Amino acid sequence: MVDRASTFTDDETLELLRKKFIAYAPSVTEMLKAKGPAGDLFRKVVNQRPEPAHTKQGYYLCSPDGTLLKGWMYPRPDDGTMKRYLKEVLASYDAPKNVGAMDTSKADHHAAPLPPEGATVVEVSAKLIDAEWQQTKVERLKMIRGAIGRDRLWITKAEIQELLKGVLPDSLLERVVRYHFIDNTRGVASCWQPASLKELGIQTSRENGKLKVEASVRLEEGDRYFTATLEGIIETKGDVLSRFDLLARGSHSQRTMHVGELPLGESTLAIAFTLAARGESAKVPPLYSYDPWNYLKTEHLRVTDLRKAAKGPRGVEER
Amino acid sequence: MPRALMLWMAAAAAALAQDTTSAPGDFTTLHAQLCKKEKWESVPWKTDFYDAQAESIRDKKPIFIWAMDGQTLGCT
Repeated sequence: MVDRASTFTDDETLELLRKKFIAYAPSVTEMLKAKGPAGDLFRKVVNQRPEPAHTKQGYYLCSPDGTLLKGWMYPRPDDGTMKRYLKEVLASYDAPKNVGAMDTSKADHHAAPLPPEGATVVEVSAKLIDAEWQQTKVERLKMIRGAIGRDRLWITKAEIQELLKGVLPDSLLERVVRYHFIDNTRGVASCWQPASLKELGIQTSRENGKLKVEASVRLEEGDRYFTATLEGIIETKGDVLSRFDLLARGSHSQRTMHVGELPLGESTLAIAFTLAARGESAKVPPLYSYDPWNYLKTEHLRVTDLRKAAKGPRGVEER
Repeated sequence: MPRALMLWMAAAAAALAQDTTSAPGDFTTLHAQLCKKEKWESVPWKTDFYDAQAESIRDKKPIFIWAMDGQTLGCT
């Protein structure tokens, strides 16, 4: 998150990356384990960097044969080192000859999971819109207090079929709430366990192909809670999901620090959902897709239990 | 910004405002604020090393790797 708020706000650095380099941004964890030629080449590159020894996270400049040209992690936030290295590498770069492209038939899709066939990808953006912080002189902490956390949500083909009928499927609602109602604005955050979803009230109405959603949830787990409303519109055209604009917001609190720093007391967390553009953005996997069995779970859902319990004597959901 | 795009964005914002129960403009403003692309997203990041390496060979450009835990372009 520090990179997004510092290094990658510099116009000249961004212009160099857009025009003079091929910019690649993987999950270092997954690529270190990846099988096949891409994993081998990635490890060849990162293992040439001697420092820091405790992590392979960071930045690398290399040629397509895997020769490391520069590799670094610090300083963070950047003090101009990146732009200097980009220029130094450009000045002396001599593209290697007789290098072949890697054999894609041996690609390891576990390292970069793709959405299930027929799925739609949604962008998820989270932000603390009202929070109080302890005073600090640590610049890298201050600069990400207003950061936007990004993730992706997968909606399966079967769930799209339900949405086409005007029904918000339990599996989709459970995925939205448990895996995406999290504060990931300063790093990776834990998802919610099923039992952490304590209360759910939901009303949906359908008009002219639009499904209007209004819901409220209470999530609580250990010293963390999120009490939120969810509202918005889901729209279909023909057999396609054409709009998925939802917004959750509410009071969030957490006392145990997993990553970075925590706001003092209760803060207001907002999370927005919208369809991802086609292309590379839609290829970024959801954080929790590494556990597809749970992420795409369709049975024994907490949401199903709560929705059944919420149905009144007339068989309709009541808030 | 092209006029057609501005008109489309204004129409989309108005449609969204009518579709929600929040105070007028509130949902739209916050939703747009969160979904707005940031500067770092203006780089044509590649997610596949096979593509990046092949393009590096073809265009004779060096590869820049930004590698973080989690998903570098997503939740990290």
